[in-house]
Amino acid sequence: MFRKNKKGQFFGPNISLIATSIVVVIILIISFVLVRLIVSPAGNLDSENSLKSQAITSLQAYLQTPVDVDVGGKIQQMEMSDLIRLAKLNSDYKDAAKVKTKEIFDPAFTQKYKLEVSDLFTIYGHLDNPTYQTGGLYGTLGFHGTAGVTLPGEITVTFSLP
Amino acid sequence: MMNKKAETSMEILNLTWRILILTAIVLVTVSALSTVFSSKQDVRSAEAMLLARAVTECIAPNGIADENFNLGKCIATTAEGYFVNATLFSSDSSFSKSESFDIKSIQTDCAIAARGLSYTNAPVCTSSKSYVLISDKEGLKRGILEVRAGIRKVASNV
Repeated sequence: MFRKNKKGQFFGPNISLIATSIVVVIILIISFVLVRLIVSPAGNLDSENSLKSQAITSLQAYLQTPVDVDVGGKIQQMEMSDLIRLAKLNSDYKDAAKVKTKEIFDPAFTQKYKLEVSDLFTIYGHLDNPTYQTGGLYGTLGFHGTAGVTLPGEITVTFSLP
Repeated sequence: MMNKKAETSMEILNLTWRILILTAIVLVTVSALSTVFSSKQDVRSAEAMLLARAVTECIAPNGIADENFNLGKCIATTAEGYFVNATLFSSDSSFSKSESFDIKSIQTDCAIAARGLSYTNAPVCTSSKSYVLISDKEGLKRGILEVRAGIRKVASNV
């Protein structure tokens, strides 16, 4: 039957080849378009790296900042990292650590910032509203530059800039 | 099988189709890759960011800056096309010091570019602001280090 139809003899075996060719070309064109769309320069990466660099320097300075703390009725000078560790051991010093942190960062950064001490406190810059400080709307806004340090006692301090 | 001439013609046609498909694949692949590898990338923003970061770390290693810092020790080049300004000031405004490295007055162009005005040979500028401790004779005091960097270099890197 196949051999009797001479016209079919030419097109028959070649139809699958033609169809495959068309499919391959379509796939190639789609791949070409996808490559053009996907390959694009990393736009925000530079600003994120810059913010991260600022956060690293600021965090290093913050932890070494000398502060005066009332310890047992006596004013003692210590670094912020020591005050944080003291607050972790004794929650009575938690408020002092938060106050000192805001005194350090509020004058330096007019824009928002976030400082988080693991299992102790989180401070969002320039906001006194407890509703926002607990995370709500403010907490969902993006912080793109983050630096973190782990103090002795597995206390993680993280500083973030928007 | 009986018609050997027809069989030969069919084989030639099949081979032609395969060559055409292969050629189409090669052409599309080369076109796609050539557009990727030949596209121009402006890396000046990354370069300016790295320059600002290097100057910050040079002036304030580990977050502590010397009030008598020398910007010249942080920039080891006399090449044109770069602008750096470092300003160190205390939080209580009792101390302030600013130094610049600027050939060809890129600083002015950075100010123009900051206003969103685009023009030919415009530089790419960036700024960073970090909280630091300033070391002086009396000890450590709280301060801020602002570093601005600009890259022109229109011919290279673009």
